[in-house]
Amino acid sequence: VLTPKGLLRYRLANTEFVISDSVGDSTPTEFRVRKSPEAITALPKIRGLLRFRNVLHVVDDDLGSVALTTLVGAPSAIVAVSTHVASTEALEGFAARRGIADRMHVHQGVSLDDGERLGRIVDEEFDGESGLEVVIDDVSDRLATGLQLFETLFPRLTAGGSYIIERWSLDHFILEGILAALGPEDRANAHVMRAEGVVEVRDAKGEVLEALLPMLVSALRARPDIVARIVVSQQSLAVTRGTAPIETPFRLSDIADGLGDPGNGS
Amino acid sequence: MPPLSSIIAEYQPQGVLEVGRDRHGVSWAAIPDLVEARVVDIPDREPWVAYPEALASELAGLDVPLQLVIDHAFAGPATASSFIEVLLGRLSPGGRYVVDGVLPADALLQLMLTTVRSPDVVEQVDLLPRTTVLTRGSRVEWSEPIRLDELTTDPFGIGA
Repeated sequence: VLTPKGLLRYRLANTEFVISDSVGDSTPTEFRVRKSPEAITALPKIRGLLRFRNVLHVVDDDLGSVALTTLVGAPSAIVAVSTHVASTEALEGFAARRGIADRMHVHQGVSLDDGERLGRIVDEEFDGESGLEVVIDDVSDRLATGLQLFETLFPRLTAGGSYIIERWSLDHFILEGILAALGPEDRANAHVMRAEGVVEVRDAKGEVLEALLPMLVSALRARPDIVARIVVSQQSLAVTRGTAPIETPFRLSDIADGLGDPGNGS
Repeated sequence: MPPLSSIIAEYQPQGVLEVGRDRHGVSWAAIPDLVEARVVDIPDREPWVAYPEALASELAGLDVPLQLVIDHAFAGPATASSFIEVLLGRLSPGGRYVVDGVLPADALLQLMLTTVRSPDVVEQVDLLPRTTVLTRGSRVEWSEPIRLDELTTDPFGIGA
């Protein structure tokens, strides 16, 4: 049971997880994690997707999240792919204490746009009968990177496997909190800061990861043999891989061909 | 839609309401006696808007918590949202609302975005090719019927 210990600390299976922006000071029994309380408390809801599965967890330098996923989800094997290069001492110590070092591997310094390397990691790590059963994208927070990673890894899932995007609504979630504090007029005039400058909120539509949602819905309707199921909640978006073979390079837009009104399906 | 018996087996509800349209989908032969069910059938020629009262009347006779609604009756964007607005608030927290059929995209995206702002109303949306299952959140008190457009924001225009 994941138990809160104060506002920013949680305990699970003799291991503590502390919410912090700085994730470098972890130990095998106390990890710093860069997650919101809502994201942490929602994790047990995806436990059923992870239990006894082969999981690929894509993270930034937040390796404590890999330990948390391991304890919450009890996967058969977990391979962490980190975009950063950081100390793995705490995670290795965690794995050694629990006797799962042979089932937990870490690959560091992997660029999200390096499809070749990602493919090699999947081929090397999941070459057994079960294959790759779950991908957790715990790093993308923009449409371009999230879509690219999805298009690289989703075809590599086994049929019935799950692709989980943890930060799908992060921009909306944060903005929601800010907008809630404003009056109606200020809300209507709200702008967001982008790399290229200040733009109106709606002009950010092409960048936010949330924009993946209509594409996935459209893909499910057009090709349910490829996108078989979509489960949406505030803190995660889980997409189930259908049984059809997927040709690579895979482009979601090739099968998501617009959102027509389906009319009455009864 | 998956067979009714498998939906019942998965969610194990005590009270069930099934809303059919012109006898479509109303099929209770294989359901265990432990489940207390009410069935409202809306003839095709009748406008659906006349039915909230009929639904309320059926629900008033239910002696157990309503934990599952099966809706075969929606017929377009307005009816989809309106049925959900009428019935979601009647479900017990954690209850499921099963839409048998393909929801219009705008209604579906609105429900998905509702999970961001109001997870205590719509906790989860589970989309299958011809079925959508909503999980009712934990909010205890609200005015009925609920208004989804007041519970949802779409700052980036995703559902537009």
